[in-house]
Amino acid sequence: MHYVLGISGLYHDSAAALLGDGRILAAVQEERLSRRKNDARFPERAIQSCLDQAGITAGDLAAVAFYEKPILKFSRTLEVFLGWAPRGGRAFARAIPDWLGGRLDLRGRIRSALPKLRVDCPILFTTHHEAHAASAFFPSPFAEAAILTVDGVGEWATTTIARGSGATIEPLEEIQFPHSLGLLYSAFTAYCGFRVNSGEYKLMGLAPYGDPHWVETLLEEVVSLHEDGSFRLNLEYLDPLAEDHLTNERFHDRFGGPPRRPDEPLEKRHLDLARSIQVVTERALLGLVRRAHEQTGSAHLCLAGGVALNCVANGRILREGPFQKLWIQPAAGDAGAALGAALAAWHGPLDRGGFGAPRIPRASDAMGGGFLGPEETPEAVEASLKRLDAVWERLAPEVLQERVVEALIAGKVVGWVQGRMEFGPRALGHRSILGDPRSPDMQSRMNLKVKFRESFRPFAPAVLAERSAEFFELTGESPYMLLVAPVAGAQRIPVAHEAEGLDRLKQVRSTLPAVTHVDGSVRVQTVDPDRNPQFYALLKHFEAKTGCPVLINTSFNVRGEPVVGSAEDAYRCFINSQIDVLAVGPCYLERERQLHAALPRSFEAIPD
Amino acid sequence: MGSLLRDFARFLSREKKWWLAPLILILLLLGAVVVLSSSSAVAPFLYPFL
Amino acid sequence: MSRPETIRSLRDRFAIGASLIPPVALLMIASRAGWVPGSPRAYLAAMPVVLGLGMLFPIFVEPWHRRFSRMRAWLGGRLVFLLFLGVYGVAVVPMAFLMRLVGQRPIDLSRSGSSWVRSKGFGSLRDPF
Repeated sequence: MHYVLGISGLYHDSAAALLGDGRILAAVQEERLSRRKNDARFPERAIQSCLDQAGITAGDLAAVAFYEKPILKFSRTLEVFLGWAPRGGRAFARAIPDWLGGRLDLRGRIRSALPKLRVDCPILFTTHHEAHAASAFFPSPFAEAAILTVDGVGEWATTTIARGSGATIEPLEEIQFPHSLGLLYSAFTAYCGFRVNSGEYKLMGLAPYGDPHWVETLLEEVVSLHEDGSFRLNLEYLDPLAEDHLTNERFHDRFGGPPRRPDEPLEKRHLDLARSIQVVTERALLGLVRRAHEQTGSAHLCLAGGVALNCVANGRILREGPFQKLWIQPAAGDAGAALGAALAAWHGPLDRGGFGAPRIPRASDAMGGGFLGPEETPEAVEASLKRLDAVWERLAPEVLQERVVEALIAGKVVGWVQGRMEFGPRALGHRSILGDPRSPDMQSRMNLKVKFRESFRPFAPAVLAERSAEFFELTGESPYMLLVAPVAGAQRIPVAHEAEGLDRLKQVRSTLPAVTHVDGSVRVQTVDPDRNPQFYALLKHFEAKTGCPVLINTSFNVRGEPVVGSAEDAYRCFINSQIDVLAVGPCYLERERQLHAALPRSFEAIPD
Repeated sequence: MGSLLRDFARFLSREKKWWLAPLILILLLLGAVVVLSSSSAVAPFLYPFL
Repeated sequence: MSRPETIRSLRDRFAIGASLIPPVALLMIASRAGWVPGSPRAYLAAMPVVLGLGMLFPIFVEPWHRRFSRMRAWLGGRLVFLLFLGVYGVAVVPMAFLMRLVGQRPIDLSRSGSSWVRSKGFGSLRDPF
């Protein structure tokens, strides 16, 4: 068998992925193992985990693929400084030593990290957006498709359109730095007091609470959207090389004050800005999608790049865009680019140094439900629990599900750790915290007591795929929780008097209050028996008892923590939060019966 | 280091960006000094100086 | 999270012992100027002794070693920062102005017109550029 290892990292969200004769065998984000959220270090643990899952060593690899062209990116960095000087000196003095210290010579870095690598094993390099495009198209169910990648910046490209057909990807056109939707969204993320490259999600969650009255200002002064779908940023307002925030004084004067510090309260202004930038981003993306359709004439669209994690925009692309079908890489951010790099090397033509392998698309997709990480054996789970002095019962699968459903109906919050770990930012029912969505106070309770995070942040429902249409206005499936759709009319409850700002959170808007956002929308995960049999069975059980085929599904972690990986991570998180019940592998644990009231945490908390 | 320099040379000639060469050379040299002084066996002796 | 060191390779031992030498060297220089008691020769002779002690009993020396390493990392970081700030001032900024003088600006800051660029195609996978 030919094994190809893909690697991404050294910027943010390092990851590794392993292919065996083109099949995705494993993919792991470094943060899940190192317990440091968005870990950017060289993904040694993730690589080892991928090799272990396949039962091979680095000596068995036929190629290693890195997700960027380091020399091209370094030269772009220098050119940007040359274009930006005399500003940017401080950024230069911080960034360049880092480059010279180990980000340039990736061949050397990879060989020293993998000493068993054969001398003749090639180390290959894709461009950043080639890796994203490959991660979007090759695992997709389509034989041919338009491919759109949108993120902060790769080498030069920030946005690309390509055509995928069979095993080839033909790049068509791109938009280059500094004109970047990802950069723009990150600038607003930082301005509103959240962390760049991870707080974007919070900004999106905040948007429905605000009013879009900055949209015209933004479009006139900060970003211009053109007829042909392209866009340009006005660099008089932005500082792409600033260190702590990406906006400048002129921006702060125009938008009503200095950037919000993380500890300062959220004002109406921030809510309105969040809403406005969300509206602008959606408009820009719809323009890009139309362009991709014009350029390719395809009926299918594949999406990747960090901006493709904006599931609100994705929902609009599906509803309002010209494409009939949409497939989004579940690990759309840089972690997924590890997988993309490996796939690009596998299907890449021989004259470019690839393996030239053909591709047969799968009817569902080739992502294995996104469950590509490690799984512990029941014995390993029990050994971990024993070491931590936990009190557990080992149950048969049906009994375990029975007990979990009983707990959920009693209003308890359940930690659910089953099967292989997810690859990508969303927990899809293998490393999840679950709750009953019919309860109106569940959202606040889970946010404040369980996850210790802001009460405005919405949760997602997991729904039996076959009953999704009864609850949500969603055409097709959403197995990776990447689409936001409106609640179906029959489930809505009208609100008499609309409250202001964050108070809108407390108003009940549907029969599923805990997962319905203030704008009546929902981030849906459809669960089918093929991709996700265990979780499907649990939902079936819950439906049989309650008639409700929906559960709240949120990632198993607390604020600042990566999603739990092992049984030990899960037990520590369970003890240190207010989760009532933990089901890990075959083991069932209740909070009241545990001896510990607290345990040292096993992760490095990353501030917002 | 040798293969890195070769890569840079091929890159600059492909992109016809020879004007970047002096800057890249200066930085690579400085980089080599910094890396050597922080990761080699002499590093422990150098902390009052670097 | 800091875990107690468990690996004691020869290289680690050497690094731990060697980290004691620079302070002794500083003392030697100070003694020559008469700021501290003792003769420079004695300090010179002490250098191999502290190196040897550090290598033989790294456990006792380690707290010092760690403190010195932190100091070194901090100082090194500062110096590197200043060094590269200097390079920016004397190399990058003049070069940038020179380029602008001949009408070159590597980043496109204009605000009008389409920003689409035809793709040049993917290069060879073998090249890191």
